[in-house]
Amino acid sequence: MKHYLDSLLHTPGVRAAGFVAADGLGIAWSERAARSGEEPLDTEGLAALAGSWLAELTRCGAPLGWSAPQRCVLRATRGTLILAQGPEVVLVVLLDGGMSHEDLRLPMESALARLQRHLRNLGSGEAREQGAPLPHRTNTPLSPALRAPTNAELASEERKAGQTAPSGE
Amino acid sequence: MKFIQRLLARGKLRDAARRVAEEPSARHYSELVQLYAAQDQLDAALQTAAEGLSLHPRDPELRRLHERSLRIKRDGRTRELLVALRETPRPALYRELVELMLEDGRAAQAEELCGEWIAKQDGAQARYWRARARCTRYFADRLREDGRMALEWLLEAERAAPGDEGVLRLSLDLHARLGAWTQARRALARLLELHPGDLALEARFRSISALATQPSDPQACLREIEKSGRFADEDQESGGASTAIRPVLQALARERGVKAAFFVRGSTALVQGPRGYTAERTARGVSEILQVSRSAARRLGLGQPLEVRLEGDYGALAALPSEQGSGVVWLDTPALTKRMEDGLRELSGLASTSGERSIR
Repeated sequence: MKHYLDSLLHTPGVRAAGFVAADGLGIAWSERAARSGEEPLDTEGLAALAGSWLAELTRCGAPLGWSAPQRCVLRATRGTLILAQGPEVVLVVLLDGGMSHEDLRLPMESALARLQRHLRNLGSGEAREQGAPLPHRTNTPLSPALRAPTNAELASEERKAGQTAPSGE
Repeated sequence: MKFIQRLLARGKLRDAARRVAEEPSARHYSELVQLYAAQDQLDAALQTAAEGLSLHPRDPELRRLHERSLRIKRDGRTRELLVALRETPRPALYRELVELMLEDGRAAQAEELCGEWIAKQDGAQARYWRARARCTRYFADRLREDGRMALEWLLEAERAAPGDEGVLRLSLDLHARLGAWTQARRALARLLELHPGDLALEARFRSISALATQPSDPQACLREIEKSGRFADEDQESGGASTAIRPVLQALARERGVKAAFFVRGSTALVQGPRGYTAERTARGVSEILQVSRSAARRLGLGQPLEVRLEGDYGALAALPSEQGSGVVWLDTPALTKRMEDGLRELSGLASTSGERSIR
């Protein structure tokens, strides 16, 4: 995941980029400080605050019938925070003050699209063969012998049993 | 080559000046200012921009050019002062440079310079300017820690120069904003000793005395401001009068793709677009979005929010929050035109309001 974030750091003015879960837990971070020797950021705190801001925005929009925002930008005197909703994760980017958030639109969309493609590949089982570290759901149907019967199958079996059973009287 | 360029530029300047004389529109003034700036004639650019602003005080382009010219001029003087300070560091040079930096909105750098000033030539002036720089930072960001340091350094400045007018005025300003009325009254009383019979000070003393009924703790005030994001004197300011906001809102709402335009200040809002209960509900939602964004910016250490943008299946919301009030526009698409941006900037710059719909 980290190499998708590293590509964002090539854009001038990007201080940090990370994937954050919906509950505000940081999943992966890439920081400029690691390369330039600046003071490192508190990425855990940043992830929690970014997640909480997104949750609050969603709560504020709910009475208006608005779903969770797909892209949020908070430009302030000392920097800009950009959040972009991805597949089950939020991409968080922190910019230096005075940088344009529009410059990051395309790179962020591209990073999210690459992540989505990666997750799709994981789902199709290609990554499992490469030794994926986490368990995942596959899209291929299980054989009837391995999975629990559905209600319709149970009913049909009962019907069959009723037809074949000898009458007691 | 340069001679030819200068000759051509002179011709362009003459034409632009003639156009201004024939039709003194904001656009013609802007063109003339730009030409002067391109020729490095900053004083002429500033003078023309000021002249244009006196005729078109609300034109955003002229305002921008005026500010830019001022900034370039200040940058030039800053460079000169930095060189002079390296050669002969003197309090007068330090003072001017700190003042310039504060005017330029570079309070952190100004504070750093004050630290250097104190290290080289400690004195009451250096301590006063350091306290002032931290107060400026606090007024901009409203962080409790900045406020705590501002109070501490102000106390040091008071100890270094008891009875100094600048220090007393700064103390009055800070404590009045915090809502620490007892301390503000004390500073005012000492200012009145320096200027007996000053009508403005006397009037302020009376109004602050009415508020200072019980002792106030500045630390508690700092906590309250960090929580609410509003200074004590801002609560009193709300409910002023202006008829300038409605036309700007109407112009914004008329733009293609705009669903609604809002002007939000504190718990009140003006809405253009939706009507009745929908207007009230949407304004409440927008106001809450601004509030949580302000609070998030403070907690993230990003400082005062300048812009908030949201995009989703409902379209896009663009807001320019400011201390005076926030301009907000709800659009079909995320693309914001220049006219919309100018409108929002104008809304955020408007200080007083009237007839606002209470949304609390």
